[in-house]
Amino acid sequence: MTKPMKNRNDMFERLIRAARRIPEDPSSPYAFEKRIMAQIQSIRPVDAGTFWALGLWKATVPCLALMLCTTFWASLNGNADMVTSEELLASELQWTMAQPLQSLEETW
Amino acid sequence: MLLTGNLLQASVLFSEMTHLGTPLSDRSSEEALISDILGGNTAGFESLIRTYQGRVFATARKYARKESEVEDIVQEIFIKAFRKLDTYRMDAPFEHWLIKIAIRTCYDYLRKHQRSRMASFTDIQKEDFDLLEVCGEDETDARHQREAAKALVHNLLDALKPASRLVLILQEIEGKSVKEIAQLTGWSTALVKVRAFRARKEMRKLLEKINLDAY
Repeated sequence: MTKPMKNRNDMFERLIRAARRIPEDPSSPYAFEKRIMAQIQSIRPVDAGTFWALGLWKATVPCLALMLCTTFWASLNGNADMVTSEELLASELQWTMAQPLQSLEETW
Repeated sequence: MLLTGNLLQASVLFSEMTHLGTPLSDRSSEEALISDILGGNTAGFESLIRTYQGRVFATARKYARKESEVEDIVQEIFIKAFRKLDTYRMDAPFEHWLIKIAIRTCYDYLRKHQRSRMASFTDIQKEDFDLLEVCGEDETDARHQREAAKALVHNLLDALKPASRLVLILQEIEGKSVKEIAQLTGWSTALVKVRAFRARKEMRKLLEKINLDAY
């Protein structure tokens, strides 16, 4: 003979009732607070100097990479504009030489 | 100058409390102690641990069974509380703030250990199922019967998803409202309602499965 099947809602209520009847256990191991305090004491606060040093150290590699890229790009552009810079230098020299004469004319 | 005065006052108060061994029941003295800890006197945190460790242990035992796991959870809760102490605004009791951290840490623990707990459902025997039928009927159950019922409740809760377990414990067992659960977990009230509905459904389905398997 098989037992009659219980209503699942009834089973749920029984379970909840049983769970509510379980008393809370607030006991804690002996000197547990000492253990946590030992952990807390080992947590060192990060001071401003360390924070900056860490940040700068991390930034070293990207900065070096950026510097190398910029140098490479500048050297490429520098070779291409060699003639142009010579022309520019000549015109600047001419302008500098002519400048006192121009100001002399203005004075007169 | 004013800050130094407050810190001095707080440290005097703290030293008095620690020397006399007074429990931290008074909220203003507790706030002074917290200010003192934030001012750099980390040793003051030990008083807070002593005051609230019982409550935190009781909470953690609802989510983990092994005592070593419970201790790990409680340790994590207090270390988190220490690290986040500067975010405590003192507009609500410290216990509420701490329990919020405790609930969220327990939920994280459930999510991390989900896979290892799912297997325990197969451990439920027919005899345990019979116990579920009788437990809660008689108020004068024997101690061993209560212990067995506790193990069974843990076994059944272990088989639920972390969110379902959390919401079922808070709502059905602890009798918290949807709003309170939302505040504790950080979920919206709508999400709490949905998860509570799913949790009850999941548990009923589980019980039905046991019922069918047993007979």
